[in-house]
Order: sequence, then structure tokens, then C-alpha cells
Amino acid sequence: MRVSDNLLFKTYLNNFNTSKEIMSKLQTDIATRSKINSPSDSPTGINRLFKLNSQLDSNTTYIENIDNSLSFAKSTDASLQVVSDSVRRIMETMYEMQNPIVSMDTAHYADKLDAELKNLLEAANMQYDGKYLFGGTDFSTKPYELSTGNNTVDRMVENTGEQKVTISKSISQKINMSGQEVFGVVNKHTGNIDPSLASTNKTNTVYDANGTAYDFKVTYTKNTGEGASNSYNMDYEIFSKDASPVSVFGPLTKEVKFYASTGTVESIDGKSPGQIRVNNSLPPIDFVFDMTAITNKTGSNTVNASQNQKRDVFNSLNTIIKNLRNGQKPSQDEFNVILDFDKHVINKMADNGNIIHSLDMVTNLLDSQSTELKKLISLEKDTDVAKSIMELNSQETTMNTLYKMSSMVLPKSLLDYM
Amino acid sequence: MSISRIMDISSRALQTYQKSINVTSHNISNANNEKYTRQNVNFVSDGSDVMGGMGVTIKNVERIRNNLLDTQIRYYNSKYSDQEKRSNVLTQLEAIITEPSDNGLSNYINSFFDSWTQLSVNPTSSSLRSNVMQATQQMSDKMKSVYTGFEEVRLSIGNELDGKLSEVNTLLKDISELNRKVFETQLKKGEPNDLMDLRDKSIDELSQLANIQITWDKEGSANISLGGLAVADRYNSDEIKSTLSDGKIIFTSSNGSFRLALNSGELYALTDTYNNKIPNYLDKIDSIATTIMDNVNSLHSGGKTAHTPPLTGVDYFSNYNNGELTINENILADNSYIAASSDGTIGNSDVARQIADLKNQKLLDGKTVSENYFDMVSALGNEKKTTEQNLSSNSVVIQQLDSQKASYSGVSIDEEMTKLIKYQRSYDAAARLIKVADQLIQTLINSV
Repeated sequence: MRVSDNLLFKTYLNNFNTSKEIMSKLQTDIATRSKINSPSDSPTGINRLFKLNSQLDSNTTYIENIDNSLSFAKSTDASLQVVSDSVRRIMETMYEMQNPIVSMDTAHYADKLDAELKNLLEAANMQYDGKYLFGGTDFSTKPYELSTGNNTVDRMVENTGEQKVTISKSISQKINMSGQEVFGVVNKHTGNIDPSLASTNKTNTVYDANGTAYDFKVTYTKNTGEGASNSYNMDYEIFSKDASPVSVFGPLTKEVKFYASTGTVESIDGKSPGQIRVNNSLPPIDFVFDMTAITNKTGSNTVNASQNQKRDVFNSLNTIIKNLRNGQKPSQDEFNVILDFDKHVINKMADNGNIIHSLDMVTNLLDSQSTELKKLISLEKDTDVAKSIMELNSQETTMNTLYKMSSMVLPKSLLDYM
Repeated sequence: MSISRIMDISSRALQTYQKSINVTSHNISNANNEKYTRQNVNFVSDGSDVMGGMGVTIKNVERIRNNLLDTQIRYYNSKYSDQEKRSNVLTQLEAIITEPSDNGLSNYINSFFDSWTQLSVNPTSSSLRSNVMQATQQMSDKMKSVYTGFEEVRLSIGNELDGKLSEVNTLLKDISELNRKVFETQLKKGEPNDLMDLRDKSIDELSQLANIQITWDKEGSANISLGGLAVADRYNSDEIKSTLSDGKIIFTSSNGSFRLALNSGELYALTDTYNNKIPNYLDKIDSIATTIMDNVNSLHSGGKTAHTPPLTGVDYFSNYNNGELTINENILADNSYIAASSDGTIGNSDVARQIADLKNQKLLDGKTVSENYFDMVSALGNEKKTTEQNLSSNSVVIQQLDSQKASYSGVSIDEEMTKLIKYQRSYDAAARLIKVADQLIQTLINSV
């Protein structure tokens, strides 16, 4: 093969440039400690890197959320403990009052219970980071207040809201105990409404803050007409328990829709199913009506009503105190209200404990996930510095050899010998 | 044979070898000229008659060139230039998106959604609300920066295309002119080797710019067609024009009747990038941005602000235009307009959580917004990597072809020096012949 001068020079330069290009890449990898400095370095690698980094960022945010939420849940736990301790002392006092040997200084006991009522109210109105622990999602107003003249304890806000926090991809965790679920009265309907019947009604007893009983009447009337299948008008009203009953609240109507396939509640007035607050100022009746467990299937037509407590603990206690000041000892019925509330608080403390436990578990899981993600990111991205340095040294040797060879070959020609 | 004949033969030999030395010196002086084709003197016996041979003459000064090699080199050069230009542009685009890094848009998109997650924990916090706005602004700024950067690259390509087109037209004129000069020189029985070198140089440069076909007529003129259009011959050359059609650049003949079909070369690389590649990336950014805007607004407008009483129907973004997402000016003035709540209570953060959860929802083409962006970056990286691989493989082929060409047509100093010595010796011998002839004449004269 005929070798011209240009051929020699070109071959040398091509080889030299190839070697330099490799060295340049290695230098960049070592200096940045990263194999992937641009998308073209590894198109599949960068896609994977994006996804891993995105997941890691999300995990970091979830962990922060959980840390904040844990503090809130632990504060709730502390407050519930205060409530529980207060209720225990109330029960001890009430046991004492039942002992016939002990002289009945009702005013003294009234004062003791009054102090505990204030403790309970203080615990119910506790805050964390500017948020009322039992205020639901309404942070602006204190949930519970004694009315003017201390006649009743009133619920000041719609404190049924759930505070939810995202703790994982598309998973939210409720972190609060609403005032309603800890202290409130829940009137619950369960059972089934047979769709073949035009209407079904149910009446049960509810109480105002002073302990007076009323009839809470609910009627489910099937809607007719086009597009009205599985739709009912739910009318609810409260009547006095007199010989000639008088309506003291309502009637109010809500449209309830049931799923055709499952018979469960689909919506109430077009919104997601939830509890309905029944709040009347005079007489002071305040409870939550929950009919979301009702079904609408062919079969039995039995609607059951239950109430978690006769009255909320605050007004129950307030009545006991007023009666004590009038020299009247609490009845067994009133004692049972406090007893039931004590059990209820213990259950709620367990529920809150579950929330804390759940958050702790998720934190551990997210922490180990994050560690794993960092490891994967490192595997994908990080340069093996030792290996790169060795390759760089090898290339340097190659280049030095090229230089040496070229210095021997390139300058020579016949001219040197003429 | 008469003594004068010897003088004639020797005289022609002297001229022949002097010209040969000229050719050799021309070769040597052009040894480093890559575009130069070495020339070789072909000798031929200058006929004979009844008296015997007439000495030596130069048949022709041959240009040592392999047309087949030239065709292959031009073909691969066209491909190489195409890939090289694409690689350069893609490198610029990669530099603009700055991925993977903390300053990449992927990070800002993540931060945007994560800021809503953080807000959902404490929706009343003014600092977290400000954080949401800041994360949004950062995302918008980066998106705008990428978008504008891509547009600027596109604009610079447009400007470069004007320059390249001008270059093409100049080369076509040059080739046509050189065709004429070569023909005229041949008519005058000259050796137009250097003119042919110039013509080949112009054709080589043209092949880098676009896909060309060359046919040779019997007079040795090069007829060039570019993109299917005959653009230059010995008589004239066409002037290619560029026009915008539906926002895309196309090339036509001077009268606009024929549209060029480019498929390689720098012109093709630049027009493909201008017409298709960059607009595709810009469309993708548009899709991602409008998807974010529409979905966030849909949720936000159904939520309730932190006012008393709470307001509803408030959009989070007011506009999207050319890479820029604009936050509602009410929100910019007062972050209470951020509607994190679904029921109006200030502690409710349902809407904030739903907006945060958009990160994981398949909103666009069956993928999440982030995945769409990842795919776009990955596609850019893939394209560059493929381009570089093609560039590398074309480069190897061109190197080999160039080596063959350098071997075949390149000047070897050693070879030329050898020839020089040979011609010099022959010249000396011819001069000695004249001396001998002179001595013979002197002998004759003296014998009279």
C-alpha cells in the first residue's frame, strides 16, 4: 500500500484524538464523580435516575409530614390522658358520694366536680401549634364554651372534620380525634330499608343539654318519577314528649341516594356520605346523626337506632353539679353516663395510640425505603473512581507511546539523507 | 541518423525532463494540501520514422484520482456532516435542560407537588403557602428558561440556514464556472488539473451541505443535482431559495416550482431540527405545562380559600404562554387565595392533598406529568447518543476512505524526491548527449 505523508499525519491525529476523547470523558467522570452528566451519557439510566430521585423527594416530604403529625398525635394523647385522669377523679368523687357513711356536703362535692369540669373543658380546648386538638378542621374557634350563666356547655364549632396527612403515594392518614368523636353524642341508624316499601320511619329518644327527653323522628320516603330510583327523601324532626307533641326542631329534609348494586349509601344531598349535625339552640340539643350504615336492599325492613350516650359528658356533669348545689345527689343513670364516658375515652386513647403506631411504622418503612433508594441512585450514577483513575493512567500511557512513536516516524524523510 | 537529430532528441528530452521536474516541484509544494491530487507525468516515445526513434515527450500529466472513492467519500461526508450538525444542536439542547441536576426542571416539578404535600399538613401556615407560590414560580421560571432556550436555538438555526444556503448557491456558481474553465483549458490543449482540484474541492464542500448526485458529460464537466433538482452544469447554475410554509422551512428552485428533497447534509440536519425536532420538544413542554395548569385549576377552583367567608371558583394559574405559567395575581398579592380546603374550614386540606396527588396520577398520554418530562429528556438523550454512534461509525468509514484516498492521491515526499533524482539524472544525461553531439560536430568540422 502506498503511504503518503498526509496518510501518516492523518493516522497519527485520528489515533491521538481518539485517545484524548476517552481521557476527557474519564476526567469529567472523576471530577464530577458521576457517570451521568448529561442525558446522552445514559438515556435509560437518566430515566431511572429521575424516577428514583422523584421517589426519594416524595419520601423525604412524607417523613417530614409524619414527624409533624406525630407531634400532633402525641399532644392529642397527652390531652386524652388529662381527660381520662379527670374522669377517674370524677368517678372517685361519685363513688364517695354513694357511700352512706360519708357525710353529704353537696356543695363541697359540687365544687370538686366543677373543678374537674373546668379541667375537662381545658383539655378539650387544648392546642398544638395554633390548632385546637379537638377542633376538627376548624382551628379558628375554641371548640367548647360554658354558656352565659353556666347553664350549658356549648359546642362552638363544627368540629367533626378529619385532618388528613399524606404519608405515602396516594395514602392519607387521619391524624386527629375530632371533638365530636371524643366528646359528642352520636345518634346512629343501622339496618335495612326494603325498596318495595314507599316509606319507613324510626323514632328514638334524644336529650337536650339539661337532660330533658325528646322524640327524634326520621322518615325515609322513596322518591318516584324518572331518574329517582334508589333515591329517598329523609325527613327528620324533634318533638317534645308531651301528650300533644310539639315540634322543637325541623322538619328538615335531605336527599339520600343508595347504590343500585350494593345498596349502600352513595350520597347525601349530592355530597359524599357523612354525619349530619343536629343543632338546636332552644331547647339546647346538639348531636350528630349518622345513617351512613343503612342499606337499601330487598329483604327485611328493620331500622335500628342507637345513641352512644344520653348526653355529652360536659352537660351531664354540669347537670350533676347544678343538682348537687340544690342538695340533690346524682342518680345511678347519671353515674352510668360518666362510667360509659370513661370507657369511651379509653377506647379513643387506644385509637389514637393506633394512629401514633401507624405513623411510627410508616416512618420506619419510609426510612428504609429512602436508604434503599439512595443506594440505587448511587449504583446508577456514581463513578467508580478507582476504576476510572486506572483507565486514565492506561490512556495516559497510550498517549505517551503515541507521542514517542510519532516523534520517531513523522519528522523523517529522504530529505534528511540527501 | 544526423547529428542534428541527436540535438533535437536531446533538446526535447531536456524540455521533457524540465517539465517533469516542474510537475514534481508542484507536487512537493502541495504535499500538505489535503485537497491537492498528485500529478504524474506519463512519458511516451515521440514517434519514429525511417531513421529511428524521435526521443521522449510527455503524453500527459495525469491527475491520480479515483472517482469511485470520491463518490463514496462524498456520500459518507454528507451523512457525517448531517450527524455532526445534529450532534452540535443536541449538545446545545442538553446544556439548556441541565439534567440531571438540582437545577433541572424535573426537580422543580417534584418540588412544586411536594410543596402542596407540605401545605396539606398545616394549611393555615402562611410560610407554607408562600412556599407553594415560590415552588410554583421556580418551576415556571425553569420551564420558561428551557422553552426560551430551545426557541433561541431554533432561531439561530434559522439564521445559520440562511448562511448555509448562501454558501450552497456560491458553490454552485463556482462549480459551474470551473466547469467552463476546465472545458476551455481542454480546448486549448492545456492540463486543467489544478482547476479540477478546485472543482472537486467545491463539490466536496457541497456534499457536506446537502445530498448531491454528480454525472459527468463526455467533456468531463460535472452536472450536479441537489435534492433531485439539477442545479449546476457547464452552462449555468440555479439559485436555491428557502421559504416558510406552515411555519416550516422548505427549499425550492429559483422559480419556486420544484421543492428539493433533502435527505442528508448540514442543510437537512438543520431544517429537520428546525421543522420537526425542536417543535416536538416545545409541544411536549406545552402539553406538560397545560396539563399541570388545567388539572391544578380544576381542583383549586372547586376548593375554598382561607378568607372569611371563604371564596371559591379561584383558579391557581391565570395563564400559560410560551413556556411561562402565570400564577393568579390575586394569589401573588395575598396567599389566602390559595384554596387548600374543600369545606371552607381552615384546617381542611383536602384540595391541597388532591393537588399534591396529581404528581402520581396518569394525566397525560397514560403517564404522569413527571414521567412525560422524563421521557422527553430520555428521548433527547437517546437521540444524541444515537447521533453520536452514527457519527462515530461514519467517522470510521470516512477515516478509512480518506486513508485510501491519501494513499492513492496524496503526495509522498520520499516518492517525489526519488522522482526528482531520476528526472535530474535524465536531464543530466540529455545535457551530456548535447555535449556529445556538439563534440561530434566539432570533430566533423575539424576534419574538414
